[in-house]
Amino acid sequence: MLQALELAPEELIPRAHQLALKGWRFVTMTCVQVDSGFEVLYHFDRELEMEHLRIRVSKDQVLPSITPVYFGAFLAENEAQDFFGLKFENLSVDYEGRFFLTADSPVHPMTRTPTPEHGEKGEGTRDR
Amino acid sequence: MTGRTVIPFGPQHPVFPEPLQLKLVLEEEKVVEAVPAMGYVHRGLEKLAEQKDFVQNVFLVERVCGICSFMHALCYCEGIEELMGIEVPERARYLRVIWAELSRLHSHHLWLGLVADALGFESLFMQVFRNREIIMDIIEATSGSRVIMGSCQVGGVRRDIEPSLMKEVLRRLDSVRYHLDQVTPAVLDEYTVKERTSGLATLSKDQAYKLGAVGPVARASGISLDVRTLGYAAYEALDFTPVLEEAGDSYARIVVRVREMHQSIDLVRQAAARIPDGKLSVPIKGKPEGETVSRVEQPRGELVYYIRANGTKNLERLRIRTPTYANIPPLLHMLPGSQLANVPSVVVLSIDPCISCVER
Repeated sequence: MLQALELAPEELIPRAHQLALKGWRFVTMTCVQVDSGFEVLYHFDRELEMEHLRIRVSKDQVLPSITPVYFGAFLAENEAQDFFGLKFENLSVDYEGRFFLTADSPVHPMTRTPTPEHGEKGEGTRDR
Repeated sequence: MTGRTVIPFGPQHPVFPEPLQLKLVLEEEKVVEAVPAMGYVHRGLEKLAEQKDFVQNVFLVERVCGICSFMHALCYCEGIEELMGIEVPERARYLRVIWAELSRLHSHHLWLGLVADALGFESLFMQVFRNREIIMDIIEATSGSRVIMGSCQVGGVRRDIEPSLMKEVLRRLDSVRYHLDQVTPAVLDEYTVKERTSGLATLSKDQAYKLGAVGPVARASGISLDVRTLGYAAYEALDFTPVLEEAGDSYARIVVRVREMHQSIDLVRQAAARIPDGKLSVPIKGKPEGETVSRVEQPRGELVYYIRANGTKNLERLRIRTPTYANIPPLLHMLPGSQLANVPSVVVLSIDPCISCVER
């Protein structure tokens, strides 16, 4: 079973710096929708041992991006922006919600009550 | 100062078997920056997994990727079994190893054939694909299907490999080994392949680790990262050490995969020699509850499943982190400095990209 260390959003970057200095590799990030908003889990590995961080955020809260510490996290953070509508500050490569999705895609499709259609539906072009 | 040009490379390209777009910023023929554009074939399988029940999801995750379908089922089942406290019978654990290594073997053959084709080495491509066909026949004979094996289930495996069939599998693997021995010098010692790939798209050990490289990409840079050493399924009872190279270039990644092909044959042989008699599966009782992270070593590297269950038949969340997903940041680091002509064959194919895994 997974044991995760609970952190406040402002503790994330200092903790990520510590992990990077101690040689922990960023594995991935998982966003889970809960009643109060989202749980964001960060998974790290060092010599096949894992460490997990858990941050609880409300729906409109902005999270600091860990891409200045772990560049590889830009994929998972952009994916969370697309699918859950989470927002990240200082994201190194920001697709602004158009990483996997396009202008005519459903909005935040991984959330449990997604808006059925995007307001700009009908353009039908891949505007990247 | 040389002007810069941005070339949309892909999503349709003769060398890419799947749609991937890279926006390449070029100075003359040299790449100075690359930005990936994704989403051409995304299927939303993680969302669908929340709507199917946890047993049906085995069939769903097998369809994430046609090359390593068994690995996805294995990773998912191992996670659910941990949540439910299921002890998988020993025979099933060995059978899982056999199918997993056959998957790796055919996947690496597929990759080698594609690389040979991309390099213009047609005869090597044909030799490799002929050999791969023998492995596909073994997979079909043992699982009933060439692509989606359907042999892994929560609690064990669905099919057995009877002793007579196991004997036949080993006989055919002798043939695979023979042909592999024939083509190995043509890959590793061939002047053109060496000249074309050595010293290109180099990733140092430090860079590979910081960027989160996994699988043969990491091991070719000297990082001993192989999830099989955790001992899941029956790997703890088998003798093997991860294949390592130090150079970190495109050629080193070829060497790692070719040596892993030999290693996979050895692992199947070891598993076949040590497999005990016994049950294939245990019944599932109850529903999964809690959260876990499950990992297996796919042909392309570490596959990660995060599973959260709430005691009902539906999962609350299934997150899939595939190895190609992890190897994209290292790829973006390898591309700058490459010549445009080397991008598809020498750089991108060297990470063995699987877009259906990324766009699950």
